[in-house]
Amino acid sequence: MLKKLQHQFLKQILGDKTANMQQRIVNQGELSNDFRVSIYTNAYRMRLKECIETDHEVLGIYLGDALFDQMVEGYISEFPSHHTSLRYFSERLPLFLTQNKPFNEHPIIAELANFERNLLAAFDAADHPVSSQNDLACMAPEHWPSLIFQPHPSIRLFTTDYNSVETWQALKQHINGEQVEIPAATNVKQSIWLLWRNQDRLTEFKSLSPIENEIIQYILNKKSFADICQMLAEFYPAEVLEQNILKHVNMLIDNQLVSLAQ
Amino acid sequence: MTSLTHIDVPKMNENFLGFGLGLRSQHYDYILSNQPTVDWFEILSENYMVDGGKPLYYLDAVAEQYPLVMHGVSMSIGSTDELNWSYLEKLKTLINRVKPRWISDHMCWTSANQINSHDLLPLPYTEDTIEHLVNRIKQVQDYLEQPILLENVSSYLTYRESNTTEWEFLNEITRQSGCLLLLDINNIYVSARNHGFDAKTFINEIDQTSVRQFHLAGHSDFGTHVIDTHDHDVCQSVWDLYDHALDRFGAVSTMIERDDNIPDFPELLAEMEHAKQIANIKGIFLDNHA
Repeated sequence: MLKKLQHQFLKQILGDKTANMQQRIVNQGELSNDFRVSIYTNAYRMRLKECIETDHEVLGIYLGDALFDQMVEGYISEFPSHHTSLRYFSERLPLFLTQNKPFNEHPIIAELANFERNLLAAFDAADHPVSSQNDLACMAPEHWPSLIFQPHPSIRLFTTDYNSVETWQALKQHINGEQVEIPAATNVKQSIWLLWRNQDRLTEFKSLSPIENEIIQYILNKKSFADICQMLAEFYPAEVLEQNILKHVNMLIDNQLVSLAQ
Repeated sequence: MTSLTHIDVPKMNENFLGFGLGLRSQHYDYILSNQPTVDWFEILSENYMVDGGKPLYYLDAVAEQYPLVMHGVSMSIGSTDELNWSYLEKLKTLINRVKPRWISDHMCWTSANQINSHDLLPLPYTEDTIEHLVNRIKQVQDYLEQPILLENVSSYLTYRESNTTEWEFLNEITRQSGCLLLLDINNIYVSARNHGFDAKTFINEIDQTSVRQFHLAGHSDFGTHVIDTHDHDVCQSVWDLYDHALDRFGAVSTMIERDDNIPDFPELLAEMEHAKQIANIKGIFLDNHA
């Protein structure tokens, strides 16, 4: 009986009015049974809408109220929560936006949502120490070839076909009260962005050059420093190889992206 | 109302933590910079079931300076789904990190058919529900190796199946399962208004030994009904009910719970101080506990 009641109530909360929960409750006082049930059905949608608003503030500004509400209604109906934490409720929002009109007619929308999901993932990814220039200096030369850069757990790679990150930055500045021009959505050359959380627990992101992306791919695949140098040797002329290896290593260390492991 | 003197107050016990507040991310920096006089903080367990980053950094920093208790919203103890062992495993991991004075959740269900409503949904007050709850509470307590506190929720409807009162339902569950109560004074007020029962009767009928913690919070009053929004100050009617609850239960760890429209920290601290003043008048001081 309890199971049947819960399934019936949940059906009503999810929006199925044929669940008829009104018939299972007692008439009390001034409030109608319809109204009593609606308190729960409205609270469900309001709570999930607030969650999407919080996690996707910039996307909300980009869409405007009407489209945002349309997205929220569609997403809540199609993807009920299977998580115990609201933190993960909007995980499939980018997927929803690539599958449903009118949102999928403007692919930058899904990219914006995906970028915000990646920022959230970097925000509370696992902690791990990173190495400093001093750690690097202390490493014995014979250990360098077998050195493996261990990526910080917050590292995310994000590929864009549109100017979504530039748009996100402009909208964020706009939210913060700055006078900025929001760029028009443009199908640009594919870009790759690196997102991570630094040791001050601030989330950062930067665009990667093709060779920087290649280095990060090598690191994520646990390739050794010798492997990375070999790859770089095919990219840079011999006379500038060493200085470029140094430049790339400095980029990894100065941005607090890796720790050193044998 | 009975006027109590110091000696009438039930004896203080080691579980009286004093007066606390809900730990909210908006106040992390203020708390760590100013180290306000708060006896303890309550954390929302689910907010810290993450791998790392700011949430766990601030949690550890606050835990170094204040006693903590853990309060969850997703145990879904009344659900007819299987117990969510994955959730309980994460909860236990967090318990081992935080080492809270106790942990709590709600006497409700939140999920069915593996779908989470993210709401604290009411249960029918029946023998079958009591049996179902007692069985699950015992399993959870065995797994977590400690008694849990369960909070009375605000409700807006009464099921036709219910054949007893909420307070009798709660008493029977605490008696049979050994769990304790987190008595939310505001929720009693909200439900009393929505269902037309006497809030003081609720308090008078709850077993005195089962209450470990009080919540105080604000709500939205629409005249015909009241919604438990936690976005306002505690209203006078709830303060009056708190006064009455102190008469019945004595020194119970009390906190202000604010979840929305969250003000600056000093404003919440002032509300907590008000609760402390009401208790102090009745001879309830943290220093009294032996």
